[in-house]
Amino acid sequence: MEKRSFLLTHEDYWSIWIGGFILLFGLFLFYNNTPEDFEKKHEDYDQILQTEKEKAPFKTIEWYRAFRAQRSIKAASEPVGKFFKKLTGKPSSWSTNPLAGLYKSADRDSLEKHGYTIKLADLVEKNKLQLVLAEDAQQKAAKEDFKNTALNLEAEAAIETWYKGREKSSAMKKKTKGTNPFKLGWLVLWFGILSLLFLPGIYFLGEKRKGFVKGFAFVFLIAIISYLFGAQSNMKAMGIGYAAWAIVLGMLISNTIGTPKWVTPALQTSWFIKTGLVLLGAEVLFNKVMSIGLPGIFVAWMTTPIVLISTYWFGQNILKIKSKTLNMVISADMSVCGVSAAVATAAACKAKKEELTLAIGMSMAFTSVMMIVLPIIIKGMGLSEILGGAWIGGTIDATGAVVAAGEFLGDKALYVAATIKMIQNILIGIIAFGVAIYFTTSNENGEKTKVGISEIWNRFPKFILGFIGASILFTLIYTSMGDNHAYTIIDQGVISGLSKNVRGWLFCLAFVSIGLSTNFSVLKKHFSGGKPLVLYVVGQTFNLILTLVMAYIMFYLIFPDITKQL
Amino acid sequence: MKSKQSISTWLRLFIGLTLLFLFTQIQWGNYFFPTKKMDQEEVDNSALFYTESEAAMDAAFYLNKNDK
Repeated sequence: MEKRSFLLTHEDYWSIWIGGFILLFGLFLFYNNTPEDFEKKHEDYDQILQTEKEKAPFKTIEWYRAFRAQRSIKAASEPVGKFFKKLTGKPSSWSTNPLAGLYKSADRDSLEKHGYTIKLADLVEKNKLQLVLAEDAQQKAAKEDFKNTALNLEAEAAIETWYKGREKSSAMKKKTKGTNPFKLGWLVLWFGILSLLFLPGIYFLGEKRKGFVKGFAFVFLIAIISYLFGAQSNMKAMGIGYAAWAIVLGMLISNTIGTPKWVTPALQTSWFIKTGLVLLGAEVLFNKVMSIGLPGIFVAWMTTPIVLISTYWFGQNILKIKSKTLNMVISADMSVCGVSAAVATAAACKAKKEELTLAIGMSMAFTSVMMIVLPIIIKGMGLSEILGGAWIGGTIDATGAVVAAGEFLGDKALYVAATIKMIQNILIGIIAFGVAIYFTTSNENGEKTKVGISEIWNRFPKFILGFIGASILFTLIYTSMGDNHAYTIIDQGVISGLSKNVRGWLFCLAFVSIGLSTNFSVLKKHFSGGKPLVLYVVGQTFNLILTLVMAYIMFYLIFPDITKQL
Repeated sequence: MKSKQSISTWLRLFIGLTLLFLFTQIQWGNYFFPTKKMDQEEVDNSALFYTESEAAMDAAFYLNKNDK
């Protein structure tokens, strides 16, 4: 029999080929389908922003108008982008009838839209009044040449009120314009395309092709149901998204009727995860670390590794957790950014699927609680918005929860919290790489061993190269394009219009596969004596203390000038 | 015997799904969430990574423009 290249017979390489293909396809697609005159529009809006900034000590009405217009220059809003958004889209939101997430009759659709139109009219009326007040306040401040502090503050407050109202009515306008979401046709097409993407790999990896497609249909169906549960309005507000539902539903099936044998060929957990991680690499853009200046970097990039290493050390030496990989996955999950960090480190250190399930479950439960409790504590302590935002961004695991908690405190807190979380997210690549190196060069007891380069290479999880490679490539492309163009083509094109959605599907399929192959009794064994829970709680407590102290030092003692500008 | 066992496992699956559905129907917001937006409009707090959250992407864009 003909000997095949190792590049075709290893799952890790197939993750790189599939992920790489999607990313390059996306880049080609969105680079060639940009909004008309987008370069000139960016230049013009930048000019307005600059002029307005020099004109007044606060953000004027014209500044906000230019900002909003510039923010909406997105390649994903072009027809091609819309097509791929629909193709890779997920079930819509619903509250009591799950089928409404997949299908809405024309009558129901127009009834809902009618309700939104009434709300929109009300919001627009209010916003008109807010605009009149804002214009009046700005004019008064302008008459004094923007030198009267009291008038400036008055104008700033009135403009912010108008801007918030504008954002609200614009969100409502989107709802009135949405089309009748008959999703089933798109889902079938998407199932076909995803199957085709994996089939060549299945052939070369020696799996049964027919068996894969049949089983994949089942896994895909559970993934749709997981997305449906995650799209329920109460669950979206609680932050309980598809990841948790995929595991829970999978486990419910495997522990009641049992996972059918014919599904087994499609339970390609690690392959789905690795391919998803290669796509995630393109979302990890290193140039974004400067978004909030040096204090943000110190809070996110200094605290996180310290907490990670300390928690891992605590788990190994004090709690004496038997599994190094479980300890590492929980430590990374808690200190970096929850589910995505857990997935990346679990793949990097080859953790068992039950260990990943445990880490994700704890992260989601604590995130839902912290999202509510932390802002209340911050208000109770009387912390400033910036300090509170930095604390939230550095400690709450998932971005959705960070945004919700930050928003509770105010806009400044939201900006700081979301940006600190974004900078922390970027650490995933470095941490996954470090974890892979650590686990390839140490033995079962965590002791360093003398291993030859070739042995390290053999043990090293190769998909990490795809992950890091995608991250470096997209960072270079982003930097060479410049912030404005890259925002339109990369952020709001390749990532928002394609890779983010595909990655979400792959993670969802992976979580379904995990659930379908997880047994309650095995999971219980990994939870031995509640040690993982103690590890999470102790690590998170340390994280909370260190992040607060670091945020205070950085934002108020070392870089107070940067803080003033925020 | 085998069919009885099969019925019982399907029944457990059905009960499990029903309980999960009921879990989604509880208005958790009324009990635990003092968040300002909950009562008025729909919110989505389920983003795992920053690119999944429109608010986070907007925040980064705002700070980028604010800085210049």
